[in-house]
Amino acid sequence: MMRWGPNPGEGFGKSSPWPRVAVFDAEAWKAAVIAAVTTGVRVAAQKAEQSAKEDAPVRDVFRHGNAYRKRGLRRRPLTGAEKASEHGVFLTRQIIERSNATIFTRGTRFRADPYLRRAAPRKHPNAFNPVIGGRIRQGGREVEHGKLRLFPEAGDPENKTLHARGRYELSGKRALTKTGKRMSALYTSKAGGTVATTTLGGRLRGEIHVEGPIQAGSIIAAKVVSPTYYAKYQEFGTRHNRATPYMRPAVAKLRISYRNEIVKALNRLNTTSGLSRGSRGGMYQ
Amino acid sequence: MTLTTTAPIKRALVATLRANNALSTADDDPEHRGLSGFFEGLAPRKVNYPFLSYNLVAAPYEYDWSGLMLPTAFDVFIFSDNSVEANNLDGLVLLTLQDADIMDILSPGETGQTTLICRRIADLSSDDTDEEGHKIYQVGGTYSIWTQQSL
Repeated sequence: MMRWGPNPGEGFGKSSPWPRVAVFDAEAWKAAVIAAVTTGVRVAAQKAEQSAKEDAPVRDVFRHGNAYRKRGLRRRPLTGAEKASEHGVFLTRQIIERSNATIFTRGTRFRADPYLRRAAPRKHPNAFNPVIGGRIRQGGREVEHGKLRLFPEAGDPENKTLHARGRYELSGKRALTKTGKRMSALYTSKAGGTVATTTLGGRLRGEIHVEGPIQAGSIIAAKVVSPTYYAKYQEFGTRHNRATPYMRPAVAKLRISYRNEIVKALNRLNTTSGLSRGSRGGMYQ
Repeated sequence: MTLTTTAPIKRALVATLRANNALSTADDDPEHRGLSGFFEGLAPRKVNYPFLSYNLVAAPYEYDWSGLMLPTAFDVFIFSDNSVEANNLDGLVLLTLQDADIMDILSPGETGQTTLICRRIADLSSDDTDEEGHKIYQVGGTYSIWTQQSL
């Protein structure tokens, strides 16, 4: 850094006959530059992390009511008798749902779809109740284990239930808690209740993080890591699944931004050290 | 000039690969059967091995005062049940694409794009098991293909 001080070997005494000179401390300057570049690299890596998280595929585990439409299928409507008996004692809702799951129409041709038959609820959707009072999170939305229903929130007032895959993820304990532990490791909330907040879906996105930056010789590097075991299958694809790249697009999208972040950090250093060119901007362009 | 997207780059990539007969033609070597097809993203289940698949990874648009640069990246994979064959075909793909003027294979007035770079920037390999329990080798790489077009 640039600082004002006495010539080497002289004191600061007022009686010193020599004018004070500017002393350039190269080591301090080097350390400051490294710190600035490290900051720039960190910011750039955080941007890449954010971009990768935005692009990372997240399996939707909630029913939206249009799952059948998406697949070109539609559910057979309930007959009047079934509707009437839904709340009766002879035909429970469970049986109605089973019957719905076996017959679907595609165009005019009746066809039982094996996927949907397999995915059809075998129990009443609300029958699965691993933890009464527990909560599941996906993004900013929460559902209650007991009722498998979203808590209404601002901007998302719909009550959505989990679909079959979502229930399977939940019952198979594949969901992760906020703390990264399996769902089976329930914990007691600070308030003292037995509330387990669980993240259901979004594991790939949730695990993306930045490592570093670290300095190795003249190289300062940070890594954006996606440690989920199936991350590479999503990124590169397999024989069975097409690729949905999310890491490399983030790098490509922010290619210019990385350089700019480092330049910004260095120019901030110039400003604070008094070496700025003034209103024309920093010395690094 | 009309703005064109990454579609011509895909066409040029496949056309360049198809133009190399060595990739598609089987020879006497049992470990070189010739590709059974070129597929984007995912091949149908019953396609015979070996086959090639390609996938667009990223294509940010970078405008400058005079035109548009498309710095795209493509993954190109060979899928085969024979690792030697997969690697041999991957080598042929590399020879075909490395530093090739791939946009030149399409008519220039059609796309308005010129090739800036066509280079392999990473090797990628993985293995998997198919529906019948056979081991499948997935060998390939990422190709950085940059094109420029005037606006």
